[in-house]
Amino acid sequence: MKKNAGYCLSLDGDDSFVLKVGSGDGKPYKLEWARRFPAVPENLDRQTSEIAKSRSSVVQLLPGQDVSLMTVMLPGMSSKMLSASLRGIMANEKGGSSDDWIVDFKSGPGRSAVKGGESRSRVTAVFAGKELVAGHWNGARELGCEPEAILPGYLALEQLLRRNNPEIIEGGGWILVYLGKKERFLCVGDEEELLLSRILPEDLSGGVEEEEYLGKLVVEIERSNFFAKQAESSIEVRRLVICGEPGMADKLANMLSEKASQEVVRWRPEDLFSAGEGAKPHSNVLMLAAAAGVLHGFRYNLLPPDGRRSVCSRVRRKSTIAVSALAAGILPALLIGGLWTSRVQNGFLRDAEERLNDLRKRSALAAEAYVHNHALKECQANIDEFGGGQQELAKVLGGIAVRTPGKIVFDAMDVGNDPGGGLRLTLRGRSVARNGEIAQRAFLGFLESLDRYKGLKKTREPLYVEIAGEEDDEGKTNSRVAFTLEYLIVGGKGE
Amino acid sequence: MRNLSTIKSFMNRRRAVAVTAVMAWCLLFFLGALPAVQDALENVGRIRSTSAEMESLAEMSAAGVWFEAVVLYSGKDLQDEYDRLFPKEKQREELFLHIARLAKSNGIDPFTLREIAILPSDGGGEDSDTETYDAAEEELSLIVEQFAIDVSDLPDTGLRTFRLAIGFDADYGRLMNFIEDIESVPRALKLHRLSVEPATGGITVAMEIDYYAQRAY
Repeated sequence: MKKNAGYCLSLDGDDSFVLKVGSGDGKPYKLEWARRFPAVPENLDRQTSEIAKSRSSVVQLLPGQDVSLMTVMLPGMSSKMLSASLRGIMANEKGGSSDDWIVDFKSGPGRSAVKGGESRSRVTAVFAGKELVAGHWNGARELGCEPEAILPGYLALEQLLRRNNPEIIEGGGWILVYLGKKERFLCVGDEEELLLSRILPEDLSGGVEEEEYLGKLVVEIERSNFFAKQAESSIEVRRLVICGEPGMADKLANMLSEKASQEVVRWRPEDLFSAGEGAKPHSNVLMLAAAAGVLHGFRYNLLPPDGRRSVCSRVRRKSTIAVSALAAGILPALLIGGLWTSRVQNGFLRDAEERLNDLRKRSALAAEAYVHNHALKECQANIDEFGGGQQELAKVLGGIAVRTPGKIVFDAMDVGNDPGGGLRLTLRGRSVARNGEIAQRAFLGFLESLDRYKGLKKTREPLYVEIAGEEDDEGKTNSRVAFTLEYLIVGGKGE
Repeated sequence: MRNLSTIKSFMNRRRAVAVTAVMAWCLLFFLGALPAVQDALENVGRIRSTSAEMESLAEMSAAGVWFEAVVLYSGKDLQDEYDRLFPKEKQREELFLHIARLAKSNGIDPFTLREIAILPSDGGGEDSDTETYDAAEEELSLIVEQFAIDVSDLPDTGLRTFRLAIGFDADYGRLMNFIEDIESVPRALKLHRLSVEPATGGITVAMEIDYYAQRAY
């Protein structure tokens, strides 16, 4: 994510400085403000709080003389091994142990050398003493900010050059000379990477012997050119890029134009920055370059390992912000939502209670009607079961009497409940005549007429039939058909 | 040093603001938002139960319109008929007198009339209201209990069964007339048994008639 503003912090005792750079108006960058600490103490709060809030947009500048640049050809190895090797080299050269150094490096992807059959890559590394860096970093922390990067001014300036004026460094090697009030250095590099940097001597005459001093600088430049040619990764310098304090830089550029064989370019990095009235961007070029680098990101960073904000800490910080935002947002939602919902619900419940009371009254009436209705249904069921139509037994008996011939005499008649429902009629009787034919004919006629009678239903053949002779009171022999018949009484409607 | 103390004071202020904000948040959350949300959640349960009760009562009220209409339009006639067919238990002497009058009007004399017990083999021993106590009955009793309905005015639907034994000597014609008269009695009667046997100068009749009465409480 591209940042909108970058801050550069330089702690140098009473000469500490902080400035802010943002996107420019018509120029690549804009110097928003710059403050020297002791000079404007009443404004310190505002600026300090601003850089404390913008901790991820702050770069801290180290003095160039405290940072070493080294270019070596090394065989391919892992990043960890490479780091250990570079710190070992530095410890050998400068003393101490390898743990006393902080290193950051880049392996040149484009250039490799073959020596003794072994493939090697050009590695550019920057070093600084761990204690020195920690001292600067702790100083920044006391101000309430944790810089995201620490680097020397020449790296910031070199990156500014590459980023904004790539045409200057095209076509071969170059030497970038910076003549500032506090720092003076030169860097040698090519299109891909820096090769070396050197601190230039100060003008001890205080400007009195300027010509002589400029001559010394020219000699330093020529030496550096020679050194670059002799180095393992040889560089042919084609351009001399001069920048810094206008007076001194102009004079050196003029001198070099006359003496040097390379093309001389007077580069004005301060022109890349717009500024308000009274501001002098050229007096803080290194800090401006570093702050502008925040907007794009840095290739090198000498931040101590415990100062680097890990992915976890970044995630934690973003999570904290997200959770805080969520908590801040959810609270009114819960509070207002809960209260409002509760209010609406209570209103509903109040209305519902009134409706419930009304419904309870109506339901009580309905329940009473339901119970009454249920009782009526049971009454109807009882009426259907017990109060049903009579069997009209009298009519059936009358029907039987009408159909009974004179020869038939009943001995017994029983009416009882049939197991299948209804009434069952059992008739026991006799048919008596002078001869058997008449008695039998009378019985059969009676049987046929009962079978046709719709008030009765024949369920079975006669239970008992006996044909025999018998003597009457006068001693005459009669013929007799004794029988037992059984019918279901259907009803008198068949009459 | 003055600058440093200013910076530290700023940092402390920041920390104090953060702590105050967290405390204020907790205060608002635990004293304001959480009770409000809990209240709303509890109300959800109350609304659900209230809605269910309203729905149930509304259904009952709607059904009640139908029940009331049925009771209004056919209830009285049905109850009158029921009371006619199944008078109260204590009114059964009226039936005895009625049957005796019928016998007398048909010239049946002598005449015996007595109430007998119903044997278990004839389905006796249980009242006709001995029905299974099913779910509908349980629901009904719950409704009666819930709405405290007065059921004393309602007809008793649990009928008791009684049996009359009638014996007399007559002829076949009188028997038919007597039976026809009994069939015209305006209450529920059911012939259980009729036995007719020849006798000197006529027939001997033994009858058993079942009748039903509402229980007397």
